[in-house]
Amino acid sequence: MSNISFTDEEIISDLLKGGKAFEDMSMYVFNSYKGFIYKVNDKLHLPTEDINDAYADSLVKCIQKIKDHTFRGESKLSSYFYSIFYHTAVDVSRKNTSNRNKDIVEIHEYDARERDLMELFEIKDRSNEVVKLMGAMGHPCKKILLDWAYYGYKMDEIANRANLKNAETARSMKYKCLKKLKQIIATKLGLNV
Amino acid sequence: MSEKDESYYIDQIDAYLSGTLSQIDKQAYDDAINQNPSLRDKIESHIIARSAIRGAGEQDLKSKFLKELTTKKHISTNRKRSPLPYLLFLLAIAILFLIALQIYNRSVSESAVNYDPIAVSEVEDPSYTLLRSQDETSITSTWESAIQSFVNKDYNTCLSLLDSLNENAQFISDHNGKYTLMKGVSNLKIEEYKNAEKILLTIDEENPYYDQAKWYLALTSYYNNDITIAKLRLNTISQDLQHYKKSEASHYLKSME
Repeated sequence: MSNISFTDEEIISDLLKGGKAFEDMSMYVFNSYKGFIYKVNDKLHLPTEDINDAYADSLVKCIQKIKDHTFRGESKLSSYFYSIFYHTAVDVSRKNTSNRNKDIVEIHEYDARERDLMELFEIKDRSNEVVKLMGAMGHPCKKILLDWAYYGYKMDEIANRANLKNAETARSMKYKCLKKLKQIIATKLGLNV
Repeated sequence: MSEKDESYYIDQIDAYLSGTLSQIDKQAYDDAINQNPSLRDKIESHIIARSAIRGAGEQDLKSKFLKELTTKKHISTNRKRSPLPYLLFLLAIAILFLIALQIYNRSVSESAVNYDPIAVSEVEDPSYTLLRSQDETSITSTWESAIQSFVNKDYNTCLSLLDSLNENAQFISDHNGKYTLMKGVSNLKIEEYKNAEKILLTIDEENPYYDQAKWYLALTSYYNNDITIAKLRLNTISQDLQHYKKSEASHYLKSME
C-alpha cells in the first residue's frame, strides 16, 4: 500500500467507509505524512517521545476532523494535517517549558457532532467524568464497541474479528455491551436509563 | 413509549454522529421527550457513551501509530542534520579542484607542445653573445665566421670553420667550452647524432658549459630516438635543483609519458 499514491478524495472516501478501508487508509496517511516529523522537529527540537506523540495525536485528530466532516477539502489534506501537527507540537513544546513539574490532567474532547448534540439537548459538559469510562469495559466488549462505533466495521465483520457465531450474535453482543456502558455512565452521572 | 420507539431516536443520534444524517429534527425530539421524560437521559447517556467509545477508539488508533513509530524505528529524536549539504559542498570543492587540475594539465600539455624538443632546440641554440669571445683581439676571423655561420644555421660551414681551428691548441684550450658546445650542437642540427654525443660528452663537470652540454646531450638522445637514454638524461636534469633547464626537463618527461 505504501507504494501506491492516493488523492485526497480517495483518502477521505476510505476513511468515511469505515472498517478495513478505514484502518488501511489510516496507516497510509500515517506513512505518507511521516516526513512532517522531521520538518516540524527541525524547528522545535522536541524529544523523540514528544514529537512522536504529537504526530500520532495529530493524525488521530485529523482523521476525526474528516470523519465528523469538519474538514471540507478547502485546502490540501497534507497542508491541513501539517497545520494541526505543527500547532499540537508547539503546544507540547510550551507545556514542556512552562508546566515541567505539573501533572498532566487528561481531558476528554468532544468532536464537532457530539458538541452539536450536546448543545441541542442542553447536555452539561462533564469531560473529566467521561475520561476512561471505557476502561471499565472488559476486552471483548471494548473491542466490539470500538469496531462498531469507531472503526465502523459491519456486524458480520465484527463477528468474524471477535470469533462470534454470526452478525446477529455480534449485534446482540454489541447491544449488551453498550447497555453495560450506559449503565456505568448513568451511575456515574446520576441519569435514569 | 415503547423500546422500539426509543430505538428510533437513538438510531437517529447514531446516524447523525456517523455523518449519514445531516440534521436532527429537534422538534420531534422535544415532542418525544415531553411524552417520555426518561428519553432525555437515555439520549444523554447514549451521546456520552458514543463519545467515550470514540475517545477510546482514538486512543487505540494513536497507540497503533505510536507502536509503528517505536517498533519500526521510523523516527530519530531530533533528526540528525542531513549530511547532504556538506556532501554537496565537498562535491563542489572536488569539482572545482578537478576543473583546476584539468586546466593545469591542459596548460602543462600545451606547454609540453610548446616545449617540443625540436622547437626549443631551434630557438635555444647557444647564442651569439654566449659564443663570442670576450677578448676581441684574440678572436680570429675564422672563429667569428664560425659563430656567424652557426647563428645563420649554416651548420656545415660552421663545422668546417671549427675544424679549421682545430690546429690552434691554445685557442681550443682557451675556448674549450664554447668551441665544443658549438661543434656538438652543430652536429646535432645536421643529425649527426653519434658525433654530437661523442663531442658533447667531452665537456666535463668542471666546464662552465657542462649544464648546457647535458641539456643538448638529452636532446641528441631524443632526436636519435634513444628515448630511454633521453628520459634518463632529462630525469637527471629535472632532479638537479640548480640546472637551468630543470622545469623544461620535467615538462619533457611528462610529455614523453
